Amino acid sequence: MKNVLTGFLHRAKKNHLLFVVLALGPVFALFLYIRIIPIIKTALYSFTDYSIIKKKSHFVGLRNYASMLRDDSFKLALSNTLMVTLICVVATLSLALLLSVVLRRVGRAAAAYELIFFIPVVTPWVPASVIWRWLFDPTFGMVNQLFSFLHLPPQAWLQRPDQVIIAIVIISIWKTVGYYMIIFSVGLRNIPDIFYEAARIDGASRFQQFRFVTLPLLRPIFLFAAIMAVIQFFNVFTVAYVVSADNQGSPSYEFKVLVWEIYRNGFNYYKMGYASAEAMILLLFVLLIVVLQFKVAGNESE
Amino acid sequence: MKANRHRKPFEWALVPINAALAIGALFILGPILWMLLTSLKTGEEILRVPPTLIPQNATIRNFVSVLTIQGFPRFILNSLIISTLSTLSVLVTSMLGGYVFAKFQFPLKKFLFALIIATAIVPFEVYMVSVYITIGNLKLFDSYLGIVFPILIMSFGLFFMRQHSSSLPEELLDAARVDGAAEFWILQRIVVPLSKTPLMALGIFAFSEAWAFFIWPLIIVNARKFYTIELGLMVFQKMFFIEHGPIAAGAIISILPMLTIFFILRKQFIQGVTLSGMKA
Repeated sequence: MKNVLTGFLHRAKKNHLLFVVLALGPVFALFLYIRIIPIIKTALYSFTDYSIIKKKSHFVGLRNYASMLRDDSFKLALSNTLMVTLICVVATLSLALLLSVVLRRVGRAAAAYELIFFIPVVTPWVPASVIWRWLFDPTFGMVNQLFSFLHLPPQAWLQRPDQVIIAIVIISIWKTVGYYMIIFSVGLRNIPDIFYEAARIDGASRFQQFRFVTLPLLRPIFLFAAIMAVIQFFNVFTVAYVVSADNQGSPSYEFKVLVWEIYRNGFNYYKMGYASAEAMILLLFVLLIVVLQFKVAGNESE
Repeated sequence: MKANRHRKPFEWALVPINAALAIGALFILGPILWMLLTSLKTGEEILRVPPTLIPQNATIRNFVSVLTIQGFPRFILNSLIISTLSTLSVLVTSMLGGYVFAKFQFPLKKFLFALIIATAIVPFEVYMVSVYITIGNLKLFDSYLGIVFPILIMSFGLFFMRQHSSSLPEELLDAARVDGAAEFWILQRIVVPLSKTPLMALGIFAFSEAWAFFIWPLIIVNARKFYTIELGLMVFQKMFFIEHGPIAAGAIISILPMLTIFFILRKQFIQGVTLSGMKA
């Protein structure tokens, strides 16, 4: 009886290969066609002067990469992107961490706050940016109303580069802090109470408990959140586009960011080769961050 | 132990904590409430300085104008079609792929899986130029398939369903095999029903991602009849910057479906959106 059974299972296993091909084949083909090939092609395009409005394209070696070094628009976009990323990551993550720690002390009200702070997370970037653009309007916006209420001078907001950065940072914090707060809350909940009890028996103050129990045990999740945040903010586009693109009757400063440069070169000027080279810089940066994460995480597990 | 906590003496430290949290909640809710109030005001009242808080003559004219004159119903329909197509496709491909990678042995398995997962860390913005060229070759500009093309699959979804599938008991599947069940029958009748919860979470995540998808429709859609709601809102804002009432109404309308799903299914929603956080 047992032999019959294993024999049957053996035959069934043989049929498995057919099932694997039928089930996974189409799925993998989609991944190949929609992800893997486009990524490889982008790398290849970055060495050409490809454009969909030209008949022929040529291999140009590293010329696209060389022109980037002389492209002021690209350099400005890169430095703006780095600046936004740095400020947003630091501000959002520290606020989110603070909120998640504080929420553990307010008991049942925590659930209500979590719900409220998650509302902007489910609000897409376009309506969020549209709402905030109006709030930052120099004449009719609520932000300047608040300023005059506090006896501060009204600001032009979206017409000066430094103020556009502040606006983008505020909008980004508003939109994402709830997400990272939830991630940290889950991490905090997973820290066993016994660690805190032990710390209390040893006479640790609340701050010492935070410093010597919470922070070290939250480190892996914090690291992961930091990587996610860096990649997310490095891809900043929608908020910059909605908040600072020219509108009828409202001139505003156009805030250059990396993805916008890719968009502009690729789809406004049809310089696909050059846009691909810029995209490779974006990819390089993301890979760098991921490798860095593995390095740090690897050192820790040793 | 637990009962003791309730009888703790009043903690003064909680006063500033609650005050700070209340201010934070105001910062979060304020902009959306302000937009809602603005959408109910008349054009004249919106431009009044200093602004009024509560609309004096509340009107739904802005909503009517957005829904009748500006073609928003079409944009909403387009967004619904695209998000639904994307969600269905992500669920089917993630379930199939995840299950096969979890429960079957075959050549090159590790390599193929690594390849799929590696694409997860590459942002779409990196290869959108290349996908655009593909869509151009396929002549799919201004079509639903063209818009939904990049979000037909989700590497993370496949990874997530693989994690879930590996927890399914092997004996159950083998028992069905001994009874002579075909593999597709097992998948359909045993695996899928046991995967309802993760599929639900993934589905909500995929739907909200697709609903908010912006840069791709911005690139490949020209014809107004294929505008998604995000695209419509953005173009609309550029056209009627001075007329803020209808824009406010449009923004509220575009948020409403997400907020509704969120409040009905908040557990699954938070689980779905933070899925990626759990693997850390």
